[in-house]
Amino acid sequence: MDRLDNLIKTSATNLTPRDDAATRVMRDIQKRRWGRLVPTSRFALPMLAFLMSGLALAGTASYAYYQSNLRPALSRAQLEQRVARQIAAARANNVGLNINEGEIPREPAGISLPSCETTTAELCMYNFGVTNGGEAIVVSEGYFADEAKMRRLAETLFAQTKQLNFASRTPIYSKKIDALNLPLLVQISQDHRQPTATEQAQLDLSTPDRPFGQWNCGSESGCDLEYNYWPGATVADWSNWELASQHVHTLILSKPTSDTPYIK
Amino acid sequence: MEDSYAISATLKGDIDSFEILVNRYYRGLFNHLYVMVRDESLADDLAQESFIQAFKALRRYNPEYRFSTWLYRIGTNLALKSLRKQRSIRLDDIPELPDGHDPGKATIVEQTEAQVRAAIALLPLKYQTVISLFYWHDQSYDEIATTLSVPVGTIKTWLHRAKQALKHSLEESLWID
Repeated sequence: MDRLDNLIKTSATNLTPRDDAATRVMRDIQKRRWGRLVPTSRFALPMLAFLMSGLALAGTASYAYYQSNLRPALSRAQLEQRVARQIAAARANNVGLNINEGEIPREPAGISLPSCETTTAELCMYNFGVTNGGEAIVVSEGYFADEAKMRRLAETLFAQTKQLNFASRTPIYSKKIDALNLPLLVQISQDHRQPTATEQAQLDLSTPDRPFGQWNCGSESGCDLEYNYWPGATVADWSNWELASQHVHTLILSKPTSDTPYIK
Repeated sequence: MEDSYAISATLKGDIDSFEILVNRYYRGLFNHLYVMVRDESLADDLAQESFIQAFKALRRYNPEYRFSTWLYRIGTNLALKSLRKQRSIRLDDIPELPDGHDPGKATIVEQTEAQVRAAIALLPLKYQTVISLFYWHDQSYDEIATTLSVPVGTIKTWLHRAKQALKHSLEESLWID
């Protein structure tokens, strides 16, 4: 190394970030990831608690009013619109989910079962990925009250991805999910393209008991089939997300496409 | 904790592990970005955004590369994007001496370092970036090529030309031959 190399080397810019950079970054990550504002003052937490209690009271009152007055009057279309709005609201409140192809984990075949990621009052946020040798991938993210159930679900999904292709496995999911007796919100994602009529028929899990399957083709990632139910649930159960979130599990089933970068 | 372990733990849901990476690389990235944008506040914002983007895309991180290389690539791209928006060349791009610094009391070493930094700041951005990554952030030619998405040969050329330009601008004042 000659003199110029040494001069350059020793002339490194070495500024110090103005305040605690790590704290700010991590706070922002929490905020962006979960959409929550992190309280920054000693007054914020009591204020937040006060607002939340007010919202809870209002939600309970609304739900009771809805149950006694509005429920019989809603048509199927209205019910579906309501569900769509509630799903959107759930997403806005981070109970729902958000995924694109870049977030699908590149993992060897198997299941990654994480620990509890973040918590609400009662629920635990988990992420897990289920892959099948780079061909079929299931990514799930959601709130689970019961880790054992989440693990069973992941294992079941993994077992299915090992045997089935995307189109044919869906009805099996339905049966298995029923067998697990788990409340679920399922989103099946078809990246980059409109589903064919056959796929729609295969993937539309709607039944009279579970009427909420619908395609949503407005997202950047393509078309999703949003579908939610839990055994014995009615549409009315979705009228109060706070109530529903105590029961719901959220899943995304995503099919990678040939232009997904890591699929060879 | 090694980077790979912290990344793995983060992916499994332990967000606190990511903080280890932030603490480990924030200052270096911030300084690299400052060399590019010459604005402490903007460099701070870009460094913060780099970590957030890295966090969001962590599942796409390829462990064949060092985490820092990937992170610097994200940061460099953000800085370039930011600079493209600015479009104008600022006259105060030459770095200033720190607050409270009395040029009269500066040691010869400090004056020399300030001169070198000023000369580097006058180089084209790509040369500044290569110098920052090569000399101050210990990236290899291959890693810089990855960070900047250009061939290794180009990196060597840029570095050579950057040094030639520096030699030319500093040779009289610092007797560099």
